[in-house]
Amino acid sequence: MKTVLITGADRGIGLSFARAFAKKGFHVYAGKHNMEYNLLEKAAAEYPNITPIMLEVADDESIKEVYKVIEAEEGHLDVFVSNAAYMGGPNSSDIKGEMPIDYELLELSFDVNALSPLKIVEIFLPLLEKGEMKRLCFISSEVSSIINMRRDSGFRYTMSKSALNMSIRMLYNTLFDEGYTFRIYHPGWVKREFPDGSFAESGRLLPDQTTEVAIEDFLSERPDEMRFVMTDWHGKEWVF
Amino acid sequence: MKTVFLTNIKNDFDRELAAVFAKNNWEVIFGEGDSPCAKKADLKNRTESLSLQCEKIDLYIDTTCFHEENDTKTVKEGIDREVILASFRENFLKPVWYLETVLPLMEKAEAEHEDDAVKRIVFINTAESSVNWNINTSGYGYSMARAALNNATSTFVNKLLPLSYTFRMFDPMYGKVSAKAAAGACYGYVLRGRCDDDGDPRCQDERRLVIRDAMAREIPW
Repeated sequence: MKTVLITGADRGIGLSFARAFAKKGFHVYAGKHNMEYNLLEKAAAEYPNITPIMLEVADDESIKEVYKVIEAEEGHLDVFVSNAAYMGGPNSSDIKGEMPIDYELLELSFDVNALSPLKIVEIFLPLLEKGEMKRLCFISSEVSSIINMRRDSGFRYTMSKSALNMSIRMLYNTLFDEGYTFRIYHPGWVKREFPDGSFAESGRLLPDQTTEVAIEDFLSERPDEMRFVMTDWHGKEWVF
Repeated sequence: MKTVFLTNIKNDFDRELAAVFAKNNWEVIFGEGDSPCAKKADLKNRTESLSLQCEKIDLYIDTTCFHEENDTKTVKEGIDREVILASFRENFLKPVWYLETVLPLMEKAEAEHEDDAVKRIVFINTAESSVNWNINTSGYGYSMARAALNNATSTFVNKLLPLSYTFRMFDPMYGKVSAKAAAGACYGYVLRGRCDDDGDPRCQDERRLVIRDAMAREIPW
């Protein structure tokens, strides 16, 4: 059975990907982090091929524990979907804002959003080597597109996504010639999912609306695999 | 006399840059490092201390280019989380902190003529910060932090351009051209205006954030 590891699968896009991959027949290892949510457990009850698994992406020991489980149960990893991200906190990243800049939150955002996906790929390389697909998928964002930057504050999240894009570029520089392929995906403005399964008013898309587009791209072959691009839910390219 | 603030004077390029400004009658103040032609700022108390040494800062140049000595591993050799974070602190957090600290003193700068290089914010950067151009397989910490800084700077541009600030990003092509030549190129580029026709949105180079190198070539993001 093909396998996929998805981070941040408690809710929203991550949870939606878990169900989507399960429907495609994958053994889904769905990373759980937020104890306030039990939506993943409900999905696992519906799809026996979803395995919820505790995963703190910024903790290397937690990543290694997940590695041991997948190694023991399946012995390979075909697809990695990096979705977990830190987006919260007050707007303390404005160069001329009302609040002083919070440097600890800046570092946290970088650690979770950019450095942790890199560490997960590094730690899981031996299992990815044994997988057939060698497909690495990363949820990025339009706010990582410097040339299209529309914001004048809130750089805590935006800078972490550019850092993520850079880490993926450098992974590509090492791994593309070894058969790995990459997907960098801008999911659109997705409605936040609450613990009871309802969704916020703000946002344009429900999670399923963006993941049903994404998964087809994540699992298909592109004629231009060598091109390092970010694409969105319309299939359009975004420049970095 | 105009004042330029350099965040660091630590390598040959920084030293040559300080020298060319001093030679052209700029007062040069710096944050870290050493220089015979510049005055060291005491930043412990942030703007309170800086204000004791100068009334204003006309031009700000972040010269940070820190390569953590252990930031040399490929993904197959193993990435040390702490090494990457150390690089992030030096190459992203510190530059942001310097700018946040110095910005109030830049508020006091006033242009004497239209193309006066006051309220100009400059970042010394390199092509390794370009997601499009980076061909490296190691040095994750530096490149990720500088890509992050490029992104953050694009938000600074959106915030500060309407307040009459302008921006430059300059790649001195370390190791490819001499420090003296690169410093001269930087001096020329930083002080020169860029085309900006208010009436024509197709001619607004001054409002674009770009990285240009010592040969005046543009580096994509």
